[in-house]
Amino acid sequence: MLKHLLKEEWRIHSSLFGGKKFALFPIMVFLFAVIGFYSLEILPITSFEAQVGLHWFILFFGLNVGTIGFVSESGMKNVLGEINLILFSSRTLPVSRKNVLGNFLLKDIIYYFFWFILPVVFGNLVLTFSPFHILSVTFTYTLAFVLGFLTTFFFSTLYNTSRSLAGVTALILVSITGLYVLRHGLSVLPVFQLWIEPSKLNFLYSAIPIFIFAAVGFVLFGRGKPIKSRRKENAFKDLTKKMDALNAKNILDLKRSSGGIGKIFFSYTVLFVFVWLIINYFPFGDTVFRSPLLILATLFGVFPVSIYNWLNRYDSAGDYLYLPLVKEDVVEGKIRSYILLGPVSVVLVVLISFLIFGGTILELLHGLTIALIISLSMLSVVSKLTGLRPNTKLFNTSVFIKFMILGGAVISPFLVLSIVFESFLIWRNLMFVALYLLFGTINYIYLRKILG
Amino acid sequence: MSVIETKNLSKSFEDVEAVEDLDLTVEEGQLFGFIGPNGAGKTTVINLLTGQLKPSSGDCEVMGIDPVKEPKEVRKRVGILPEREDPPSFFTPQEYFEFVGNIRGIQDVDEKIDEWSERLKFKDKLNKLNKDLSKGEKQKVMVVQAFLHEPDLVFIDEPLINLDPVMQEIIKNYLVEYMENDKTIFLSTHVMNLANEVCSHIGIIDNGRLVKQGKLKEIKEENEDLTEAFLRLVK
Repeated sequence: MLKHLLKEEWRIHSSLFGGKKFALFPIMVFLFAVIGFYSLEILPITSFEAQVGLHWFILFFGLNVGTIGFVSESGMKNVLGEINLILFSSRTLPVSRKNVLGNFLLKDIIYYFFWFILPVVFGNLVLTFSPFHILSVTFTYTLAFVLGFLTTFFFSTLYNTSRSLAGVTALILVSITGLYVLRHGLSVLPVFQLWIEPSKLNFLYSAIPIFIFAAVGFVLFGRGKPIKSRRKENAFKDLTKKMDALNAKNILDLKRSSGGIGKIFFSYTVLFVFVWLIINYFPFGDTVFRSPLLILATLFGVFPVSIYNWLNRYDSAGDYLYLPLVKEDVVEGKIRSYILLGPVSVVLVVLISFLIFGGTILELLHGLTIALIISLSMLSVVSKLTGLRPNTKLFNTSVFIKFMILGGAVISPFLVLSIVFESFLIWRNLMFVALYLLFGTINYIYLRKILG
Repeated sequence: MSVIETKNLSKSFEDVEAVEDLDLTVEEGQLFGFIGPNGAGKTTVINLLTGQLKPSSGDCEVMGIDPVKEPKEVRKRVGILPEREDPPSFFTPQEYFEFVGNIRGIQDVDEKIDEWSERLKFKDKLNKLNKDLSKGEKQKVMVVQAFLHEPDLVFIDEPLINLDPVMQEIIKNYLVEYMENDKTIFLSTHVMNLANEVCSHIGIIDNGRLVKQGKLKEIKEENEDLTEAFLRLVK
């Protein structure tokens, strides 16, 4: 079973990304890791701090992989087309669901170990050739990934059993973790402590949550109540009074799919917490971030890419081709929906940040404009590069590199200017205005071409 | 007057020749049964005729329009029931029909929804989410969307799939009635009984090539039913 599941995963990726292009992904991860470790020499970050961040990052990556693995069958169909996976084979073959599930989880851990964790481990060779270091990071990175991955597994099974219980548990866990991190700092993460001080006790602290999440998840798996056939009031008619039909469909898809509109807030909260942690717990935050609001606004401008991903999760161009629509119409609909949701959401996040981090009115105005311009620029970049398939194409190595280059070209000048920003220096304000005009014009031309 | 006309129409996917030099003519008012074994190229032909695919070579016209140049215009004028498509998961049937009505510019969509939900007996399902419907109910929804604007030409691919015998009978009768109102139906199927019962004309495709085309009676030899004729021609 495990062998066939691994083969299936490989074939899903190779059919999604065309040929074996996706095999380059680990090489790209390795290169990013090498660049990251090399840049420690010029950045005011110690390798200790880098390892803390990396363990957390891998844990977040595990959380994300778990989310992909447990999207519904219909969600998977929308991304992958008409498929049937070995995961569902217990319906037709004499094999238990839990047996298939166990192998499925193991398969994901093995697959992502080679696809993501090992390349990051090899990136460590820039720091040291010490076999002990390499072996220890291999172990603790893997544990961090498994912890994230099984946390999502646990919550997905809990959610299927009782939504309210899942909500309360999540709230309790996030609060405890948050308070603990606030009090003791990011290095409190047990798998990181294990890396710092390999001991039986630290191993137990790392392994116990993994064991609990796996065990409870397995017990709860398949115990969810069957989904009732749901009735809905006609919301389409009202929406089409305010927007076009495709736009209305996109909004309903977002609203009625698992997690509702709340999943956007969840994505934003995770990203917000991540950025907030960096600002608060890395020493360069104080020295480099002269105007935290502007740096944050620049980073927040990228957040709505997750909205574009959500908007494209529930359909594909093929779903519309029996109607008098072409792919371009569908892309246009997605862009209109993004424009409806993305800019409003970044304005909100910048305003919240202003309340938390403070700043002058001038900074607030710059922050709002930066976030809006970047959110529209990222829309242009992601829609141009991925069309209606951001959820798969961004995992294609060449597309991802182009995304990084184009996205970087938009963000970098804003980041640099934000770092050196002094509100009383007129020329720096004028440079911001010049950037607004430049990117505003580019976006206007691109979006006008699409939206007509 | 011909509503579908193809000349040397071919489509290949890498090394697979899915459709080869297809010369096909379908006249107005026909219920044209396009039959062939699995993988013969039936769905590919529908996709070519409705501009969902571009041909590798050859020409085609649907209601006087080239689907390669004007795919949207063709799809505006015709109805399409795809074989494998489900209605959008997070719409209810009611909302989905309104969506289709909006895209197609249908004026009296509410009346039509009433009429169809009565005909296919799913009034009580109109406000349920499509994703929670059974396969048969989803198929009913897809049938309705294809006929909602009463197009002059409808492409239907395996319309009876997942439907119970009562519903199959209702659909079959409707198809015949529709044809009798001077509308044209291009019916792709490998269900011989269906083709035999409702079609006025037949085209048989095998390995991407049209092996026979004509009136239903002309396809069959003496004392032969359509299945026997099909097996003889397809071998």
